[in-house]
Amino acid sequence: MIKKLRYPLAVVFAFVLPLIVSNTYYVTMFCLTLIYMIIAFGLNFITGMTGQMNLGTAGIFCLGAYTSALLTTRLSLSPWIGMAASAAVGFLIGVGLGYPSFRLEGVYLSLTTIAFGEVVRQLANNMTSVTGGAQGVRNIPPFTVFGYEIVTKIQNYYFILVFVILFAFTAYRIIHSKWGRAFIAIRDNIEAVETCGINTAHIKIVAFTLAAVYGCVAGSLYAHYSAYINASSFTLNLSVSFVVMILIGGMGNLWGCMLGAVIVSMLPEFLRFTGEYYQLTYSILILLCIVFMPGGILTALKRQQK
Amino acid sequence: MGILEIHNLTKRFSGLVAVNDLSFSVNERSIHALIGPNGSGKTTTINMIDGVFAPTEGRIVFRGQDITGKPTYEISRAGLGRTFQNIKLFHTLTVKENLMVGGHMFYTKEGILKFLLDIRGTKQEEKRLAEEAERILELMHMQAVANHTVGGLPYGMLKMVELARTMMTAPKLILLDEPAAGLNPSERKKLMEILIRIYERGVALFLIEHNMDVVMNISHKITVINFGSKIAEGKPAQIQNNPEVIQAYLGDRYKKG
Amino acid sequence: MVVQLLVSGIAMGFVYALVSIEYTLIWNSMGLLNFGHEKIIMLGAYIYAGTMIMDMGMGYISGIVGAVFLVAALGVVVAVGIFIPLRNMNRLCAIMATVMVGNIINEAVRLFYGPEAMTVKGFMNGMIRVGGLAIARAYIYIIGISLTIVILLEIFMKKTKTGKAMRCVASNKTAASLMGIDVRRNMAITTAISFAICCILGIAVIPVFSVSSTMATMISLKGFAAGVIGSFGSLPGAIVGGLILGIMENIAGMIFPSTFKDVVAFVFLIAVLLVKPTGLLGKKK
Repeated sequence: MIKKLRYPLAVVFAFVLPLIVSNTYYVTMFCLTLIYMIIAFGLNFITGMTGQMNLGTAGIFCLGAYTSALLTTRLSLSPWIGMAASAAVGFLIGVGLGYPSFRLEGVYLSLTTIAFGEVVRQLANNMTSVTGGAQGVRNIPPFTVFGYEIVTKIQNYYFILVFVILFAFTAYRIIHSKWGRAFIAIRDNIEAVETCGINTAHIKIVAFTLAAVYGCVAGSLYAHYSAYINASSFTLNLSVSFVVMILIGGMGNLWGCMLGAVIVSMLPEFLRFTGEYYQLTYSILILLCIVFMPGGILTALKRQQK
Repeated sequence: MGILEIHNLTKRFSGLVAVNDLSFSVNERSIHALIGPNGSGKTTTINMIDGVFAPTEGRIVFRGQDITGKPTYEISRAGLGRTFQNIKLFHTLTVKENLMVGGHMFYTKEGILKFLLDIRGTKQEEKRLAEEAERILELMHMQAVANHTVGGLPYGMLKMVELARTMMTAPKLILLDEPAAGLNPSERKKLMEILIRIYERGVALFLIEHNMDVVMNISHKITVINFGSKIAEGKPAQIQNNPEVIQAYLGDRYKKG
Repeated sequence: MVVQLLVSGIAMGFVYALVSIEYTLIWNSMGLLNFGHEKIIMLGAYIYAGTMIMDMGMGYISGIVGAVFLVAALGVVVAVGIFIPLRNMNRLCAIMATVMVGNIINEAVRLFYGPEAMTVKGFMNGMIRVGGLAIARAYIYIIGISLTIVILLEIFMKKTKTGKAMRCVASNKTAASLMGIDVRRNMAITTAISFAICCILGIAVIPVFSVSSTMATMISLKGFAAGVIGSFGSLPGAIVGGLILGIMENIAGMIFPSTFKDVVAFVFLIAVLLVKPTGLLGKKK
């Protein structure tokens, strides 16, 4: 019963949450959590299901945010066009970086994506004439829906939530289809996938491109939501946190992605008492999580039930 | 002309000759066995046919098409399936899902963009794929385990799942790497029945096998290799009485009196 | 001008090559990519500058010996406690665990030594004049130290029993344990050597980057790149890849604005992957 209703229940819960907790500080945090969820859904395809390490998500997120931000501030285009352009950039990243990385073993992706993330951050920081450099991009216009501007935090929350639902639905369809099966098959036994007539490099590029498009659209949402972006926030540490989300939540599973996004974005709140030792506590907690619950929290819970 | 023709195949691993100038031909609609002592180059031969590694010299022709050095997935699409000596399955998926991965290329056509937009077409494709998987499961009497996760199944069953998955690629020829290894006598009997049933559906079989009961009972033609070179070829009865084969591999036990 | 750039290019090339060697050792031995290596390099520099020189007032050389010894000991602890148990795990978890180990070291260093950058006064400073050309002494030292490490490592791997055992473990773990090699102990030693190289690297680049928490970020990334460019997992590949990368980025620095120096290296990496995915020295599989 609950199993059948869990998706509608989750949606209802998400809709009433800001009515219960309406403090702007928390709603701001919820908005960010929702954006992270979209990224986690995307990363889940390539890292969670296909098992290929991607440590360049911050770079993808950054490119998506800058594409949308620059098109709307410099060329005064509509944020919707900015978002479409971001999605197109995601596609280009997926194919452009996936093609060289997947011709050989999986380790190459982890190396090229790290390099990619660094290049993007450096370019955003140094190409001052285009990106504004260390100053960042200011006054990014908000989205408009039927003539209404999405300005307040609550409006933003619901606006982003609609995207989360849309992307979750698409992710659900992909996971429960031939694509999802092929992704997991690659993680389980890549040689056997080739004997099924499947070009594994192609499937990996599909998974990576999906991750890049999800990440770039999330970046666009983030840019227009926060109205200001700065290259210095898109660090390797951020990429690591995205992987942590899907790793501790439960790989290959939408609920795991959501749980992971919630945990990673809320953890600073819960660990506030640690003060200066926050980063240290956080790293140790995550390390323990990885060592003792390698399948993520959801898998560990399921095992407990049995 | 055979369905699979091997011409002067040679494989050297940094100086070591694993397969040496090997030629043979697998006939259409036949069961062909490749036997020989351990380390004689049997698995290396299969791996070259299947594109796992490229031969140092020689040519492999499948259904009139040169497949030498092509990637595995293209060879599989051309209609050449295989099973592995140490079973290779997707252990977190169910049996049926394993089969559906097998049918991914053959029964579905949609690219990712069309998939995302065309919800109805996708459902139809998925349904067709599931039906085909059920048909193959029925053929192999495996409906009972369809929804079991592969990870928990017994060894004998895993071999069947792998064979069933290969059937999903609609092969014209299946390479079987020691299909009977590790099976008990009753499982072996069942395997032989199923192999015959697959053969009767028009699929040629090429197997490497150490179990002589299986080889002698079902093969139409046997090729024997030793140290990477062919030492004999013929019908089971001829092979059993070939003195060179007996000396190199079979021993006196299988000699027909 | 060109000669100076060439010398600094070669020096940085050797730094990248050493980074590449340091992670290749662990990769070959345990199949683990140590993404925390950046922090180990930094830790080495901090222990040398902060503890050995400033707190204990040791000499340059004795300080190096002390720091290398400490970091190598940490390597044994990390290997036994984390890397060895992790190596059979799912690769994603293993990589993330090495990242977290790096983060923990990073935070420990920040809490212990404070957030400010340090330098070691007078350490490998100054210029050397060669036929009218002034070349930074630090680069000459770096080249010398790197060559020494490479040669010592080569002798160690080819001549000593432990080194031969390391090569054996790298090529086949089952066979190695059947031959009576204690594989776990061997992995711990490998990690210790890898950490020791990290420490020496950290110390060697102090005059170039000074001591700070992000001092090793770029060299560790380019070390990865150097390995892939040369040929992943091979020692000669690491050296060739490192030298090409070091010289190339210095020459590129003359053509492009210097802020794009780092970008050039990674663009080159992707270009190599496109043209020859197994690396410049790589064989076809």
